[in-house]
Amino acid sequence: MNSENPTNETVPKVGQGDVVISARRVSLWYGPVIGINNISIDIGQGVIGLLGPNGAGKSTLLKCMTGQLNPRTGQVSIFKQPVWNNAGIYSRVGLVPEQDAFYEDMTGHEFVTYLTRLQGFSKDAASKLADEAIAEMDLEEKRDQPIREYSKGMRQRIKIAQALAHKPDVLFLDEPLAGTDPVGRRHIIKLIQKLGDQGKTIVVSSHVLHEVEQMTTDIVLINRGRIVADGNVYKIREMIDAHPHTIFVDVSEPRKFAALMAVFEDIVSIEFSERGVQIATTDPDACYGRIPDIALDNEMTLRGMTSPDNNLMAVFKYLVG
Amino acid sequence: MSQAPTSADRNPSTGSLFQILLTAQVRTLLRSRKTIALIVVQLIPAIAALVYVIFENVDGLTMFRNIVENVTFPFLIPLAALFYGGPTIVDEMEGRTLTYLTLRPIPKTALFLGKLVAGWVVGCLVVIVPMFVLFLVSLATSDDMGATIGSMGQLSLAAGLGVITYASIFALLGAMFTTSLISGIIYFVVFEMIFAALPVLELLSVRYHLRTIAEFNTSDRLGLLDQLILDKPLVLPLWAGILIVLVLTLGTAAAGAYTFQEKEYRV
Repeated sequence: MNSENPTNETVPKVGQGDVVISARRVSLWYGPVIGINNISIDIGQGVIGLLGPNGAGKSTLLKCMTGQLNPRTGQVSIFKQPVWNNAGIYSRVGLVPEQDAFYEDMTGHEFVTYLTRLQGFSKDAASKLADEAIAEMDLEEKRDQPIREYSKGMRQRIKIAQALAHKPDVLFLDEPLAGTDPVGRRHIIKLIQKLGDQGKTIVVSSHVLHEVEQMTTDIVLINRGRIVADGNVYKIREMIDAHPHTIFVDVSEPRKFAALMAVFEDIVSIEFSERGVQIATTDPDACYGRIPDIALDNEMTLRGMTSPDNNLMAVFKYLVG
Repeated sequence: MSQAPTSADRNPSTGSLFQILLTAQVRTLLRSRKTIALIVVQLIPAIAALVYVIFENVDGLTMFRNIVENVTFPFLIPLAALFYGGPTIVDEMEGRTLTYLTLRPIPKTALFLGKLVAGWVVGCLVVIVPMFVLFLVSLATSDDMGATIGSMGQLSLAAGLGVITYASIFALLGAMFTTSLISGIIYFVVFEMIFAALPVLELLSVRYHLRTIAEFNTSDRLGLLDQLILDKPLVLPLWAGILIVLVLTLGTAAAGAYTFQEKEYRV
């Protein structure tokens, strides 16, 4: 999806509804090294995954969006207000930073309360909001312990609590699942989904594709400082349909099956592997419909069909290389 | 999640946030280990004075002024300022907690100044309270109680101005170079030790102006180099010393706040 802007430049848009975060021709470099290069994007409501390998520019872009870094060219705005040196915007913005850093001598409750007070809340209101956020992150039992005694997962959760306590409309999360156990991870993913459903704008930066895949289908793929793809993950997958799509078919008579499939024009190659018959096709939709029919018509048992290309990893590998 | 908080519960004005930050920072600094350590160091002159008073026959006022002139002013005041001024932003940078503060609706200038003023408050307490203990010890053997009390008032003023001036300078250096210790030491050696000992250049040192405010005896100055150029030591009036120090304080505080606002800190 794209949106127009006054200069008639077509800018990619992800997310729903009105534009909340807007970046125009944003570039930043670290000496001779380009961090991000001429990025323009509009982000609406919902959960958006910012994906890319390490060193792609995700954190740099996130830091420009949150006003921690000042782009050398271009501008980032949130709710149509410039971000850099505009403290007022942070009443509506929360950030879960990547770094594992805290005021270690504070208890979890003190930490969240202090930072919530710096959002302008009275002592009582901040304490109450801190209680709610800590409860949301399942840390009530540990709230009065110093943070230095927390495990890695707890530290991550208290970091999220401080970002949520003042109920921001926009939330940035930089590698939010780092260090969490599977239960904690599931909890955080569900929370992110819930916040997205509430109409908030959630930008999740990660290099772990399967985790982002669980949170959202709206992604921005970034590599070497540039956006290489954006939008719905399935639509992005369609972009690579020109690239042969691989399907593994586990069938009772693989050689007979392969011979029957080979006559179709969209079949590029057929190989035999431990996972089954590996078919490469240029028309995956037709092929998916054909496979069960062929198996049924020829009295073969179809035990399963899988495709490594039906996920973000395939998209990523294809686009990023 | 519950409903969003009402506007009555929230006041994100700069003044309100400044006050919250200042109060929290003062509380944190007062409870910190470095404050306890520094108070112990600052009390050493008072303990030494007590020993002197017990075993020696000394005039309290003279002892008080000598200790303040030769120990407190050249060493203990800059030490306190280095502890509370330099780390204004550097501690948050090195602890990687700066992001939490800059992502609050408090302007960066207010953030910087709030932490600096908290450093002023605690730094002044850490210097002046032990000075007062020293004063009480000195009072026991003072022949002129009125002069001693007056001296305490004047020296407290000079000490307090010294703390806030040095702290502002170190805070500016911290904001510029993101390291408080090395830049502070370089500044201190160049301006407060070398320049302070040279004629005319001594005017560039805070130490010179603090001596003016404290009205220390100018004839006791390191006059050898002065005498090479001047007939008599440079002496400024009291009000000039106070004015210069205040201008220096406000100027470096403003410069530090501006630097912090405009500079990117990669945490």
